[in-house]
Amino acid sequence: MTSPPAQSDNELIARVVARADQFAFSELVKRHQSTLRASLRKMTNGHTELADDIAQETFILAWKNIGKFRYEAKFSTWLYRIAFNAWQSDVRRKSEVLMDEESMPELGSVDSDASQVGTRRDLERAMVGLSDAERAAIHQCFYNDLSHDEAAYVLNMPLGTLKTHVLRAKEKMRQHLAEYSAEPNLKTRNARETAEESR
Amino acid sequence: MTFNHQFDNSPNDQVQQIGADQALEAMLRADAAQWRATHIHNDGFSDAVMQRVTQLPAPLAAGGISKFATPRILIVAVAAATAAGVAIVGSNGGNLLIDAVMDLATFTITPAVLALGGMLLAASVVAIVAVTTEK
Repeated sequence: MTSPPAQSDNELIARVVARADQFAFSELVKRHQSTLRASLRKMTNGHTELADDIAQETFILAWKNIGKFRYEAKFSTWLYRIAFNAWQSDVRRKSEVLMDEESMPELGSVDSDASQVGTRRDLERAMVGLSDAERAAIHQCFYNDLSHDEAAYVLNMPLGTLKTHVLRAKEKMRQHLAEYSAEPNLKTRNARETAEESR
Repeated sequence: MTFNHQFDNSPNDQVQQIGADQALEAMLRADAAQWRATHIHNDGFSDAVMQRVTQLPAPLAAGGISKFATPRILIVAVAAATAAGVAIVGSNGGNLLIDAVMDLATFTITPAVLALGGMLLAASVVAIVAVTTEK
């Protein structure tokens, strides 16, 4: 006996809107929980509990507002937009600076070899110098793998502004990495840290 | 992966800069791909969400009216009708404001003063309802 073909996100959404179908919504949650939580863990710099709280809030808001979903964007992109707004509200509420040097992500939480850990550390350091908007633009375009159009929708900013943020962010990161790789002592220290973490 | 940190405008430097941009792009894409490939196990997350969802009212269909909207609309309509009725009865041919101000100046309680008070009260109710309906 074969299992019925999986329904598309849009079919599930239609069921939720028409009949408040909790089973259909539960399917959507199961389908998108991993990517959303991973994205939020990255945004919150590895704060797992905070990320999961915001992810839960995101799905609750999605349930409440699903009637406003216009099918213009993908459901996942819409979720990213809600999640970004929820994360921003949380940051504003707590007035926390989440992207500081002390709160580096838990590198051990992702299976990585030593070189990948080193690359990640380099990138994290390079991103510390970015503005919130630049960091958000890089996060949406690369880590959430969104097009510029989609990222602009998620961040609620004009497309041109988004592109400017991405360009500036990349320029700053490139300079930071160049300066970093030019310092032999820092390179040695980084290699030592990487070796220690991979042990 | 190396990054050259001093660039002028010579063609050679421009080539180096393009190379560094591509290297950064490749680093970001590789790191992001690895990050996205990480599967986070459900571990009761969906159940926790659905437990909260079951306690919530059904989501509104597009353009729907919430169950709270109908009573609020009724309150506004009744308040507006009351204000209009009071104004008509108490205004003595539409001179409500002039009559009321004149009466207030002489500290006399007349139907015009009462009507003005009723209108202000009704306006307050409408304003409060409008503010609470904002969300």
